[in-house]
Amino acid sequence: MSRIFWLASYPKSGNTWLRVFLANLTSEGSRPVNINEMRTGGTASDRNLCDDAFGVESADMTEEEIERYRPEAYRHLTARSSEILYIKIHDAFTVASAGEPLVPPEVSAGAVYLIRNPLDVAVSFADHLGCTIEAAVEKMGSEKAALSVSRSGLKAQVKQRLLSWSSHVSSWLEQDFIPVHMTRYEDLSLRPIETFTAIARFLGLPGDSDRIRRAVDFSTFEVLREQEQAHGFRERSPKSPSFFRQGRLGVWREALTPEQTARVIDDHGPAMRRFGYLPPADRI
Amino acid sequence: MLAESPFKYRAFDLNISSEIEFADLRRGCGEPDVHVRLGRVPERLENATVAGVFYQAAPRQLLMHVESVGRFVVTGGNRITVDAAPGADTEMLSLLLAGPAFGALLQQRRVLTLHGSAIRTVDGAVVFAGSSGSGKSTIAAAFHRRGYPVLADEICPVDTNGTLRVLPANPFLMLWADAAQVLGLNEALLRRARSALRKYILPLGDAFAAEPVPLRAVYVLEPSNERKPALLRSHGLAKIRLLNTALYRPHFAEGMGVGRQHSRQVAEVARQTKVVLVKRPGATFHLEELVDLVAADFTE
Repeated sequence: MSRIFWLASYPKSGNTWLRVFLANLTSEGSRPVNINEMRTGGTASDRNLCDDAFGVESADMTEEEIERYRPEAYRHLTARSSEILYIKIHDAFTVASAGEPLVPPEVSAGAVYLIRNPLDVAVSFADHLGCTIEAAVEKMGSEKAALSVSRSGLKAQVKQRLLSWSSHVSSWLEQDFIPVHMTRYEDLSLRPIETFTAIARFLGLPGDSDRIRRAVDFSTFEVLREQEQAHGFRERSPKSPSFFRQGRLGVWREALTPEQTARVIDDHGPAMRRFGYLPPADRI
Repeated sequence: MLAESPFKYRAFDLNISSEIEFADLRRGCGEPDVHVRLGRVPERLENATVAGVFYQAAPRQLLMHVESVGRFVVTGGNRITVDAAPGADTEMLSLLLAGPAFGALLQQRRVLTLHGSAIRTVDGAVVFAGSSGSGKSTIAAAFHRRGYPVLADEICPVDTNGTLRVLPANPFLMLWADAAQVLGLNEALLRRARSALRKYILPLGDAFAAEPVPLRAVYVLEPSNERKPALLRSHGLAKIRLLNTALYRPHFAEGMGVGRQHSRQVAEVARQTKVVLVKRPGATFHLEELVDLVAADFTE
């Protein structure tokens, strides 16, 4: 039986970057891993993963039924595997009414939780959803927000409850079912060696400086963008022209209106302050 | 649901005698190949080798347990025993019997089960395979609208004894609301597969191809984020790799001890048949363009 390390984040917060880094860290290659052939254990909301584990088409099940049995699917996955699995997850850490977390503690080794300035998330999330920044900000503020809701057709992924951005953050960081290593996207960018080394250590992966440096160099924004331009990226949203867009910190300064900025701060001020995205007073 | 004399159906090229009534199956006659009965089903299989959340597989046996429905066991390639829970969700029961139960039964009978739909063309059967949500039923429905008879949906049985043949499965397609809409069907006139889902049953009537048809080509559908659909013909080992992504519940076959047989059958299909990867953009966009492209490819 194996265990799962969850790679958890709100969408557009560096999850793919982290997975590219891990793919490069665990590969012995002399060139960057192909972003379209990363094998890092899959995605928690992948419909095929659920169908395979269930033996019943999730397409024949209601969203409530799927949600109820997802923890079973993860138990099943670890029972069938002998390797540690690194699984991407955008769901908030929710606990069903019967008291069972979506992520079963007994098969979870832990989670890396990535957090990014919600002002920058809003810009990237709008692009990903193919909606206005206004709509993205609205979604980030809604406790009912979810991804891949199958209203009239079948999505490749099953429904994921996001909750609001603030609730997503606190759902992962304030639960005490599984150990969490919190990492800021901004630190991945500003202090990559130090920050990725800490992640590798938490995940029990090789942390010697040569390997870390090589994996960091193979996962820079420029490398990823170049690969996407040459061969495309299968995880790109069809609504967005490219996945690796800017990768800069603070793009919100040019993209958000003062009203939108104020709205994000209004919705998420306490969490932003807690993680250094707002000075102690409301000056920005 | 319980009948004094069994109902007789014909599905998956088999005569079925059933104590359970199925709303959408074709009536049949003749000596039954398969018996569907109500009876006691054990909680677990003693010698299970592979298990999932809702199933256990042992040599020549598959047991399934879904809380809202009850349990059923498929044995020996000719028997399905159903132990329905009190107040069982009969819609879900029908879906499970027509899907995993018959899928397992076909595997027990050494029939290759692809995860896909199939249509009849003048040159033979064309299969559209792929994972859930890849658009197998939608493309079959689009061809149906162009006058092609439909052989199968969801489970596509391929007989590999002698000439490869696609066996007729069931006389209906299942479509989600968005696909029904694109195809110009009126949701209000269609029955839901389950009342809680906007997934509909489209009866095929005379457009169901009720006889086996030699296999001509397999198109494996893969969702793509590109703007245009694209066909990539595959060769050599890549054909086998691609077909392996298009199998119906390979874990069932593995657990029931027919996994190796399945691999040999896949190799045979790869050897004799054209296999093409279809990269298709979002759920229902470009459907007609895709159908034109595929039709031009299989008629060439």
